[in-house]
Amino acid sequence: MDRSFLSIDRVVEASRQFVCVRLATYEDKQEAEFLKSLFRTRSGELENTVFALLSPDGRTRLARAGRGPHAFRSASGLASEMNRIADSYLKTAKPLWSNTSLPYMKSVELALNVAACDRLPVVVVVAASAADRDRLETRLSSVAWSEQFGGKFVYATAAKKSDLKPITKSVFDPSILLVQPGVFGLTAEILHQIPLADIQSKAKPAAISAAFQDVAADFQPQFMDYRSHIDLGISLDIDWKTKIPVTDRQSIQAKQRARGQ
Amino acid sequence: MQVPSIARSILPDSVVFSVDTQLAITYVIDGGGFWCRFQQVTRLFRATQHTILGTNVMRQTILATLAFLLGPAAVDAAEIPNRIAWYGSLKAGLAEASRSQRPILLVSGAPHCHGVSGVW
Repeated sequence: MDRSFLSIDRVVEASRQFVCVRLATYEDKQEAEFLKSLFRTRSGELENTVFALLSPDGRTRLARAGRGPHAFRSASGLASEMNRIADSYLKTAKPLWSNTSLPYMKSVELALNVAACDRLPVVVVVAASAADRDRLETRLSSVAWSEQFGGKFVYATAAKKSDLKPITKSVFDPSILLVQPGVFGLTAEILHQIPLADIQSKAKPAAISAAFQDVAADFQPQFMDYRSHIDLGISLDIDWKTKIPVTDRQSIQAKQRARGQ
Repeated sequence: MQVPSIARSILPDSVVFSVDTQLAITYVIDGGGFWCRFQQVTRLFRATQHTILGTNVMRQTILATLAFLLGPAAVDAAEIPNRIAWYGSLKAGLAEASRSQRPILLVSGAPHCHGVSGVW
């Protein structure tokens, strides 16, 4: 991921006029096929990163796709181009904060991993039934897509007890969990648990936003510098299993070298 | 998750790890703040492994000790800066783009490097 572009304020501001989709590259076969169709690499295989600006139907490239946003030369250049594109959709587009669906990752495990990469907390919607999940999401979405909290949490849903296995001391009851991922995103600790009963209680109308506020203000991400992270991870035999094989040759060779294979 | 080689090198071969024990080890190593006290813990294990290891109670005690000694690294708290609000799946992102008629910023990245999770 390119923090030098995508974490710059001007780009973040411009992104509010877009629907922003960030895929984990080797975690879904259909998504991988879509990514491959956007950008033809020299090897002909999907490589670790892809960047594209697309029309709302996802079919038209609005700028040249590539491995990253570097074709724009600078974060300011990217922000300007995004603003120009957004202006052409201004008449028909609905604003970001009107979103109703939560931006879930595919699993709790993947959400923890991505959140560890981003150094962000994770929100887990815990519900066995669709009815309970709907109740939780209805209350949660307005907070999740507020200007104050948009982009500051990673989201996942747990429909069965085993989904919560990486989360220490978790109890499978209808609730919203705010959790802190570990350094490698393999486990997590609970920061807040908001039961469904509290969320529905008229006595606690701001239960969710209060918990979000607490976490957003006091979050203490756990991280190491890049080299230490990789060295420690390899020495601990941590080896993330992707859903489909990694096809980036450089990445495969680098992993083999790093692990002495 | 396999038993990490570090844990294997510390504990004798006679120790059989259950799935829960492996998970407990994962909780410990994922908690952060590892290196600073690792040597100290290694010495502790080497000093005790020939005499007291082998029972479930002792394994749990050791894991609890390890968890205590290798507790999360302290990092200063700070307000989370503004970030891009990402959808995590193509299907949900396309559905929202279709509903809202906003253009799409699409990126992909692998949340692991050299197979190690937790880093882009």
